Amino acid sequence: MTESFENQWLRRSDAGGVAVQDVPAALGLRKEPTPTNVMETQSLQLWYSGRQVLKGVSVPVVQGKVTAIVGPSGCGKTTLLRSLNRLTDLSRNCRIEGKILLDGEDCMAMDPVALRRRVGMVFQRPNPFPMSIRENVLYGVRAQKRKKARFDEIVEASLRKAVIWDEVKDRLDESALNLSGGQQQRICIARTLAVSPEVVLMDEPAASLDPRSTAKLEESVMAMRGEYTVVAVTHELSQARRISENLVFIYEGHIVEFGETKQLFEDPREEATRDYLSGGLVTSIEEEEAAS
Amino acid sequence: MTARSESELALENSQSTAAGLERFSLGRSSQIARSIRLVYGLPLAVSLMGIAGGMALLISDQPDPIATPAFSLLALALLAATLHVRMETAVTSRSALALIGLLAVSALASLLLPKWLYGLQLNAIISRTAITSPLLLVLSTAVCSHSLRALLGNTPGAGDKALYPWLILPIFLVVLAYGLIFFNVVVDGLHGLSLDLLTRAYDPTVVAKNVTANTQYSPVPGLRNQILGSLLLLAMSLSFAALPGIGAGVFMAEYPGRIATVISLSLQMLRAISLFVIGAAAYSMILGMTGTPGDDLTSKLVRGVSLTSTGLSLPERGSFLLVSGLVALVVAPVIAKMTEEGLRSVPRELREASVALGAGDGFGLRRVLLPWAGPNILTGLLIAAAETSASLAIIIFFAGTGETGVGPVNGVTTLDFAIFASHWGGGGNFFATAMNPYHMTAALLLIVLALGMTVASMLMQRRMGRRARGSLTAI
Repeated sequence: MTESFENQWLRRSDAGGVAVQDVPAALGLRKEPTPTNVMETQSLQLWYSGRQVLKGVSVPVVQGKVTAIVGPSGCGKTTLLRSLNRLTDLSRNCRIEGKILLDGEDCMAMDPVALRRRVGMVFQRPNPFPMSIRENVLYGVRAQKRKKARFDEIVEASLRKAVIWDEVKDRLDESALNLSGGQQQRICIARTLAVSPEVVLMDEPAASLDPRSTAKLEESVMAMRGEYTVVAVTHELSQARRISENLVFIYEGHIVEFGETKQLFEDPREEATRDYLSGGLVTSIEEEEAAS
Repeated sequence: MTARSESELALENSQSTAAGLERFSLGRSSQIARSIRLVYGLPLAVSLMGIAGGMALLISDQPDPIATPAFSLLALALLAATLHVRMETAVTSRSALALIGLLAVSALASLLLPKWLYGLQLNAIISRTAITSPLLLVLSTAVCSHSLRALLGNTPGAGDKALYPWLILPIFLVVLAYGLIFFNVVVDGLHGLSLDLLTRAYDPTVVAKNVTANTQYSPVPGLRNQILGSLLLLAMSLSFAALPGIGAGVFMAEYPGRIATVISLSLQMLRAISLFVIGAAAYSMILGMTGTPGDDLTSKLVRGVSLTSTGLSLPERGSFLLVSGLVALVVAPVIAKMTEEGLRSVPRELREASVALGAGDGFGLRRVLLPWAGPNILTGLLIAAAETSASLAIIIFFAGTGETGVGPVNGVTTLDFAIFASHWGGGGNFFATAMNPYHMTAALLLIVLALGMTVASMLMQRRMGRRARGSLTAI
């Protein structure tokens, strides 16, 4: 990113929901201008030690919207998410074919650390560092060597966006591990937002939380709408319906359907989607397994 | 017992499933009533005495008068308890009968052991007690375990508790052996301990004067330079080894591949070569060194020098620099191994969190990985330190009496040397004769040094662990 972090930060928080994502385009850095798709995969195939997990996945990630990825367990939704910021690089026996584009740039050709600075991630289980709340939020900022001057502002703004500021503002120097699971997860969101990534990936962020914490978490995801581009994996359909604007349905490594959440729930084009969204697919899979 | 209860079970199962299930659920077929099972207190008490007797036998090298009576007593007590239970419940424990048989055979065997196995007649190691006392310990523990199980009601839980004697016995034996040695060192060491001994350096002129006058050594010669030397050797070798050790550990854990395998293998090889061999090789190099000893820089650095009161520099056998370098060779692999283990124990979630926030390898290492591995690295340093302070073997080649002080290019001297030389007479006769009464004191000081380091690092480790890992794992 050529624009300074401070400017970007200010613009983003002052613009009141109007995201400034088109800096590379404005500077003529983008090769093929795709105005709304900040990220996309093109016939992405992925193998884990010889076993094919993704079989040609093409998915657009629309700017400023929350995209939910749903599908039965083991269908490759988490793998797809982890390939978007190349966390799949961490496992040695993973092979990828196809393209992942961020602002038209090929992610596979990018420096992985640079890519992860632009595509942040929130994990399934809350994983705060054993440090104070403040240091947790500032971890990425420090790692990316940004200027010190606005640290306090960044902490406050990030915690506010993650809807946890009021709960922790008096104990920023306490260990983040003393918080409840739900609070920890929102700290993890704040930590990711603090470096203002272009895309935020979320891997079943509410999977290990109780209903109350889940509601709070969903609240913070809703607050990110418009301002951030979010890709969230979830296995809970009601949650996908509540928080997402676009929906991707994956089944056995293939994209079955992509579209607006509302439309997909009300009038899906594919039979499999209809089955899954109404709970029918689960039984059919179980029957299949029982038969084999 | 088993056959009986099985037939009973089969019978009950055929009659009613519910009753059969009830019988299964608690395993009550072998449970004995409380009033009856108290009789097992007798064999339990006798077995405890048997264990105590076995330990006493182990320590003494006298002919054993107690083995045969002890075996017989154990057999009788167990037999009495078993018979009592049989009369009350008509159930006989087969394992008890086997144990009684074993005890009877042992009693007979210890009685028939040839007389020439008594004492030290055969050689210094094998005496009659060396055969009977381990046997007595094992069989007493077996009786103890059996009676404990019966006393507690023969339930599955009681079976678990009956394992305790087997678990505790080896620990107890080790503690006993260690305690005896420690007791010996403390008693002998305290005898020679005085402030003079700690603060004064060994002064050969005073000793020489005493020798010519044929008087007792006064004032007391001191161990000051040996104490300071031990500390200096420790500090120097740890600081030499820390960086390469931690670096190699980080490389092995974080960048696995062919190079890491080569590093790991070579460190293991280094570890396998005894410090004694490394020391011998280095010493032969010193012997082969050309040039006037003590004059050129290399000689000073490697051999070390000592200055006489007239300003004459005399070559020593090996400098602190050389010896700490050699010790560091052996210590670095330990630190590397512990660092590697520590880094491997970092939870995957934390690693991924750091990577996903766009942190480079260096930043993640500094802020998350190394703090997490800190307690492990500290343990590595501690083990290494213990090895350094006990690097007795290498000292034999290089150490001197340290009469002219302690410093990187001075001749090396440590407490190990004081123990060795003053007891067996290395390093010149003057030192040996003057320091002989104090070799146990030197050993005591060495123990205190090692113990102090252990306690200090345990405290540090706990604090570090709490800070770096929080409540994520208990250490």
